[in-house]
Amino acid sequence: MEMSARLPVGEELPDDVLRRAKAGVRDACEALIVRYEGPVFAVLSRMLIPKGRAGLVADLAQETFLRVLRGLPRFAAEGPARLSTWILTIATRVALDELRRARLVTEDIEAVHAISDHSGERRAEEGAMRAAIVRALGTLEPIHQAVLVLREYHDLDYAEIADALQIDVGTVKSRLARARQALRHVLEESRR
Amino acid sequence: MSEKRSHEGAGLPPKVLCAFAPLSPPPGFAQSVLAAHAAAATAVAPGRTRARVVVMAGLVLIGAAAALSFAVGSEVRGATVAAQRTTVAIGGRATAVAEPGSALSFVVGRRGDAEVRQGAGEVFYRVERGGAFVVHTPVARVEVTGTCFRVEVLPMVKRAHVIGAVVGAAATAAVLVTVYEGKVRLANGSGAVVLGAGESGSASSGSPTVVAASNAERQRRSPASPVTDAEGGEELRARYHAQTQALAEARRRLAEVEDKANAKAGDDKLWFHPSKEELVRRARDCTLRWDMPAVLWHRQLPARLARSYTDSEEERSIIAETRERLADRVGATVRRLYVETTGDERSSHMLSLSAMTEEIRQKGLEGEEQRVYQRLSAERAGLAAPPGDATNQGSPYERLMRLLTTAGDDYERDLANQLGPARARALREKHNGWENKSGNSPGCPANR
Repeated sequence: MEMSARLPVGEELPDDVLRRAKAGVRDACEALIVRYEGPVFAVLSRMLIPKGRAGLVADLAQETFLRVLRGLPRFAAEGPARLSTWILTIATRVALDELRRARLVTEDIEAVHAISDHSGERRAEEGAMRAAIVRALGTLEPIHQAVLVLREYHDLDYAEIADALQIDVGTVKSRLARARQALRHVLEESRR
Repeated sequence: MSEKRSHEGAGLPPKVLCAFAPLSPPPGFAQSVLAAHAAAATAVAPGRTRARVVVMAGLVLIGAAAALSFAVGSEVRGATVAAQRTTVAIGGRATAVAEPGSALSFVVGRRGDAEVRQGAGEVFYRVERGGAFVVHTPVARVEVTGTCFRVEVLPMVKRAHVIGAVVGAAATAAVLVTVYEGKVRLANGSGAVVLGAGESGSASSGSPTVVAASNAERQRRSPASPVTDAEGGEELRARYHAQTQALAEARRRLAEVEDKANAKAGDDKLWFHPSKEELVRRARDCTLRWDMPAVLWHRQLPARLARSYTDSEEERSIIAETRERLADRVGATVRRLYVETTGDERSSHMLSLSAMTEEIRQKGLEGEEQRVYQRLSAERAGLAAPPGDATNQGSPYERLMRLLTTAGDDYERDLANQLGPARARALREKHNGWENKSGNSPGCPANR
């Protein structure tokens, strides 16, 4: 089970492919999407599923990549931001925009099944743990959730998170600390 | 550069975090993205708009040469004169929904900077961040960086009702801008004002300044009152008050619904078998809640869900086939309603069902969502009679909501025909309702 969806240096999209994708070459654009669709689905899953919007993950992943393709000609390949960070930033903002909408409240059956799947003791324990994590993330404010997800699951550094969420580094640190504390508290409560 | 984790204190245990595995991209995801990207880039039909521009003479547009040149190289141009509600993609930077009678043209440069000229009518814009985006109207320009807003260019007759003070005006129009998200700057030769979400502003040629209050002036006045009677903005202020109040009420009701949805004991059966008292209470608040199979996202029955229902292969097969029949019926209806709403047959084969349902909702008339919720919740509570032919009456949005809120019952009924009523109900009760549970409370209409 993947812990960090961050591509180590050397596993970003090759420069020549990126150049051709920026020029709009279809094969290169497809390669870009295939390379980064996993991390995009990951960040959107962890933002939306706990808020009962699992059904929107695929739609918003598509929206994310449409924005990526539109903005790609202007992405500075030699700049300080890595392509993966830039794409995850877009995905996070798409998720936050969605969570700001007053929308239908739905329940995620995936979370329900994680509890009810008793085909083995280990699977049951994992399912319960998953359900607890989902519930715990769901209690966080979206911005706290975003800080936690980007740091814990995608290994972005403080400056990258600050840029993605348009807040300062000090705020990132304090929100991360609070989010971790809140998550630990909810997880401990669920174990009782 | 990545900070060392050990310096920031204990993170969360990897075993705990890894328990939450994310969803995986479906097969063909990249191809569907590229198809949608290509569709957005060619949304304006050059031939059609060219003819319309020529016929509709007299409107304020960019010169004919601009209207005749289109997406060539890295610059994108287009124009449209809307005889019916028309959705226009502005070079991938924005989406414009042009109401009948509106006219606009645009140029999007290679760096993503966009200039739109709106000569008449009402257009809703949704703009993505990325470079300058300016809407020029006959009397003012609207500058944005990423937002949702509406621009109405009002002809002189209507303007007299709105402004109320100008006699024998030499001006040809006034413009009214309403912002839903983000900020815009409304400016003309007489001045400028920044409008935030939930605010409206107006401008006209011939008046000494932009009618909407300046930032400083707005701070001095009540936040709900950006335009005074003395400036002739009585109608604008009334609209702004109504919008602000409806928005506040909707937020309050949504908070109530969310609180109740999170409550534990006693709510287990509210998704599909609420009491009469509960239905009456919901009707009072214009609230709807319903459960249905998640066919807007998954046509086929997920394997884990199937196993949770029953160990019988035969029964799983019946449940799965019944679900697919429902999915096909729902899908066909959603597509039909989407095409009826947008006129966009092509996109109906590319967009997801959930995306189409959302667009049908967004394109409803002002206040329609509240009216539909009021009507349906009253019918459910037995306080109003349903229409005789519900599938063909009402707006597309009303028919969509009837479809979705009854899909769970339809599914159970179809299963009951094959497995018996008791078994069908037991399946529905297995997870306290079918897997997609929805509820919303947009607030009741103000004139109830």
